[in-house]
Amino acid sequence: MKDPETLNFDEIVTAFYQPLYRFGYSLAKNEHEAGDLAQQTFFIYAEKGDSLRDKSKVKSWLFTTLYREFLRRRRKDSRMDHYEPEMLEVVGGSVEPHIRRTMDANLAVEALEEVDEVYRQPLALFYMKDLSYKEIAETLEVPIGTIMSRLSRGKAQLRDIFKRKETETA
Amino acid sequence: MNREEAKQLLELCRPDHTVDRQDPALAEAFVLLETDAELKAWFDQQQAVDARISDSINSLEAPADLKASILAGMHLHQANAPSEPTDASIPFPKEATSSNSQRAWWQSPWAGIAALFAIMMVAFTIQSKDSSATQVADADLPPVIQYLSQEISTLKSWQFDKKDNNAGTLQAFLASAQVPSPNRIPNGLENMPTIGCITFDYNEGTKLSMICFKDGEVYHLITADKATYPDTLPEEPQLYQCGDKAFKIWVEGEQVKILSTHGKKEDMPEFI
Repeated sequence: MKDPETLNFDEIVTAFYQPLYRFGYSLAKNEHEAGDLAQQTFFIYAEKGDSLRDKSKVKSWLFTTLYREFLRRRRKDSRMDHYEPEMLEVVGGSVEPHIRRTMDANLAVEALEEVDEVYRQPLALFYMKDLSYKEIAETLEVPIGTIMSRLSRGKAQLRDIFKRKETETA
Repeated sequence: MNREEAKQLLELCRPDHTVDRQDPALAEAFVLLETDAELKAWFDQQQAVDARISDSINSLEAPADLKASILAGMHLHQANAPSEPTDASIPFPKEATSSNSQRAWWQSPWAGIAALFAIMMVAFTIQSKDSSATQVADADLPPVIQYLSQEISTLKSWQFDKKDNNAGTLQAFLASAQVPSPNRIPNGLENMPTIGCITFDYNEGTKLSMICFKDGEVYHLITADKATYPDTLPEEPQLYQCGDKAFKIWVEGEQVKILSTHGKKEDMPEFI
């Protein structure tokens, strides 16, 4: 990949929309919202990206922004009534749902969904390999030591769940 | 450093991840790997499982049209942004080279006929002007219409600031939130159930509120304060078409109202 400092907007979208979608999915456990989170993150970048002085930080900036957007929506959702699903068909379309490709992807993603949320967030970023553990700590705004312990416990939980699902599937 | 401490650090190391491998904080743990066979066996097994999980998670792909959707939204957003003045000059048309061009236009035998035709066209246009108060204007789609069209297209139910099936409740909510709240609901929508309401920040500080009504079809009533409305105020109700959505803009007292629904502007019901 080209130096992030030289990427134009289209290239930034190309480089990061997939990993952002995956991170959004790990947070929301929902394909629609994962797509929306990715879209909103790039919208915010288009609006405010000029204020990012160090363009080499664009990757961690995007992940941090997506995470904050997820938290903002969750706080807002907690104040709202439960929605009726038919409203989605009426008020407008979005990116269509997508079918996962491999059995393994199913198992790993399903296993990740069952991990406690506080561990799931750093785990998703860890396995996606886009960020160093220092950047993971910055994105989630927790100390590095906390990330280490959450990764350790999260990995143990994930492996147990993954093995159980593999056994159930076999 | 003992084995347990090394394990804690080595768990941070991802398979085939150069940055992790070169991290100085892990250096001592890697040295221990070379002399501790049991630790090495544990590490190799962890790496194998991690590699499998990582590959699986990274094979999760975004929907095929997500990237295009993001770029299209951004291009539309940029198109709505205030344009910078440019220094581009408009080239003058080339000089005509035919012999006829040497004669001044009023000397042409056709000039009088062309002038008469132009006068007749103007007269015809004035006579055939639509007697209804509503003008149909597509040539200059107001920026606010383009903005609203995009927002409505991407609206999700979880984005509503408040959901309620009663318009009065939503009007009160908007008023309490100190954003434009429709002073009057158009006749055709008065008894229609609502879905919810949402507020938009348009064009650096202009608040637009939107109440969504649903009675089979969905109608969006947008309200803005006349004083802060950023576009040109219509003297008469105006109809617009933006993609698959029809819009009607009118001024009512100190408010600007916009009604939108799917379909053609010609079919926009007469709610006002």
